[in-house]
Amino acid sequence: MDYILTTDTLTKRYKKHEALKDVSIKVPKGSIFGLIGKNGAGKTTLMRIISGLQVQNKGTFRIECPNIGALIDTPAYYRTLNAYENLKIQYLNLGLTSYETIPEIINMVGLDIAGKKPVASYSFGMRQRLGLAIALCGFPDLVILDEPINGLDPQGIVVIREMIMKLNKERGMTFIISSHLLDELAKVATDFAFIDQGKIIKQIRAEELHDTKNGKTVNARVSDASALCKVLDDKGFSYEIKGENELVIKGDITLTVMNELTKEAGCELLEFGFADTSLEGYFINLLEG
Amino acid sequence: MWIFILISIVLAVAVIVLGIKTALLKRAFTEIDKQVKDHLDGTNSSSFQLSTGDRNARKLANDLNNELQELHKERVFLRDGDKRMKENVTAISHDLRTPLTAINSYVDLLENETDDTKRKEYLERIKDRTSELKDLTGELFKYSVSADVQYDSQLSTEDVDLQAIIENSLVSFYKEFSSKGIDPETSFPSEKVIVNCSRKTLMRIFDNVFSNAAKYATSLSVKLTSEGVVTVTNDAPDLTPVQVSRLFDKYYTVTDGSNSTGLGLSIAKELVSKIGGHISAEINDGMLTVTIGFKKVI
Repeated sequence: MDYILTTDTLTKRYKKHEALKDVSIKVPKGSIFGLIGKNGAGKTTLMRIISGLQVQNKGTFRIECPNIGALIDTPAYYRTLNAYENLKIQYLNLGLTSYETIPEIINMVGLDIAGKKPVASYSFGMRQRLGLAIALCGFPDLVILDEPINGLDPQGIVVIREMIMKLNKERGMTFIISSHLLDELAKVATDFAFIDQGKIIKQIRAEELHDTKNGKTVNARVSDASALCKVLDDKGFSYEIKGENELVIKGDITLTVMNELTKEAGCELLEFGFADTSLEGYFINLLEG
Repeated sequence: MWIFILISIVLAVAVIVLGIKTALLKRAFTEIDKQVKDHLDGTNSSSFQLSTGDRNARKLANDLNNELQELHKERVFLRDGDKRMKENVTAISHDLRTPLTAINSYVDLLENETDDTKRKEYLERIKDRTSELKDLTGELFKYSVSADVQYDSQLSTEDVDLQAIIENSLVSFYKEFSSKGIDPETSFPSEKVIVNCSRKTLMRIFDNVFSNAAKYATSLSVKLTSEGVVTVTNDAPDLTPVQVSRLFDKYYTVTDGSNSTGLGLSIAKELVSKIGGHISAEINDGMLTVTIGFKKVI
C-alpha cells in the first residue's frame, strides 16, 4: 500500500510537558484518516508539525506529495473582502493558473449563500467554512483538518461530510481529520488512529470496526462450524460464517451461553470475543483497558 | 556621437530586460515540466502552480492542468471500481458460504438419522436454505445482466408510454402484493407521458423498485406527473434518514442478512443514470418516497 504520510518517532516537548511521544503513524494514500483523542491528547500538535507550523524535538516525517492544505485553529482571512476575493488572494499566493475553480469550491463548502457579504459579517460557522475553502484551494493531495465541523449547524455538518467524501472519491484526495464528534467521524473515516497523552495507542481500519455494527454481535472460532450451524438454527440465532470455522453471531450472547451451544453441537470453542458496537464504545474501552 | 551612446544604453537595457524575462520563462517551463511528470506518475494531482505571471505560460499550464485533472479523475474512478469489484466478490462469497455450510451440515445429519420426523425437519431446513441460495444467485444474475441491459439501453431506444410500463410492472407483482395485503394506489396524468429509451431498461427499473416495496412494505402508492416524474411511496416506519441515504449503495441491506442482497435499488440507480434520469429517496413521517425523474419526449 502507498502511504502519503509516514511519521517516525515524532516527539514534541513544551518545556517539561511532553505533548507527543514517539508518534509513528502511516496514512494510506486516498484514505480519510480520523485522529481521535481527548482534549490535550496531542492531536493538534501532531497536525501542526505535519503542516510545518511547529518543529518537532525529535523524529522525522515524510509527505509523498508536493502540496498540502490545512485548516488548523482559526483560519486567516481578510475581514473586509468577501469569500470570492479571499479565495482569489489565496489562489494568487499559491500561483494557481486560473480562477475557474473558485465558484466550485465556494459551492462545495456551502458558502454560496453568503453572496458578496464581507467576511467580517460572517457567523462563526461561516468563517469555519471559509477556512475549509482556503484549505482546499488548488485541490492538494493531502488536506489536514483540525476539528473541521466545530461550530457548524447540523446541515453544515452534512454539507462538509459530503464534500469530504466526494473529494475523496472523485479525486482520491487524502484527508487527516481530528474531531471529538466520534459518530460524525465514524461516518466518513476509512482509518482511525487513537491518541492519548501524546502516544498513539491504536491504529485500525474502518472495516475492522464496521463488521461489528448493527447491534450486538460476538465473534467465535470453533472446531466444527457446520455442527454449530444446526444448533444455532434450532435456537433461532442469526449468524454468518466468515472464514474457516469462524462465525459472527448476532444477539446478546454471553460466554456461558456460547459454551452451552458448542457443547450441544459437540464441538470445541476455540475463540470467543465481543464485538464493539460503536466507535465511542471502542474508544472508551481502549482508554480504560 | 552621443546618439550612438544613447542607442547602446537603450539596447543594453533591452538586453537585460529580455534576459530576465527569458530566465523567468525558463523557470516557468521547468516548473510545468516537473508538474506534468508528477501528474503522470501519480505523485501529484493538485492544480498547477506557477511562479510567473506570464500570460502565455499560465495559459499553457492551465490547459495542461485541465486535461490532467480529468485524467486523474478517470484514473481514480477506475482504481475505485477495481477495489469495489474485489469487495463485492468477498461479500458474495460470504453470502454464499453461510447457507452452503448449513446445507452441508444437514446433509451430514440426514445420513445418520433414522427418525422420520427429524429427517423431515432437516429436509425442510435444507429447502429453506436452498431457496435462499436461489434468490441470492437470482439477484446476482440480475445484476450481471444489468451490464448488458446498460449496453443495449443505448442502442435500441424507442418511444415508450411510461404509464403502460408502470401498470405492466405493477401487475407482474400482483401475487406478491396481494399476499401481503398491499393494494397499490395509482395516480396518472390525463395525457400520455412518452419517454425515449429502451423498454427493457424501464421495465427493469420498475421491477427493482417495486420488488423492494413488495419485500418490506404494507402499503404502496405510485404517482406519475405529466412532467415525467414518478414517485413511489411506501411505509417504512423503521428507516432512519441515515439508512435512507445509503439505500442506493450496493449490498446495503437495512434488515440484516437473509433474503436480500441489497442489490435491487443500486441496480435501479445505475439504470436510471444510464438513461439520463435521476433517482432519489427520502423519508418523511415513516413514509419512504423514491422519486425517479425521466427525460420526457413530448
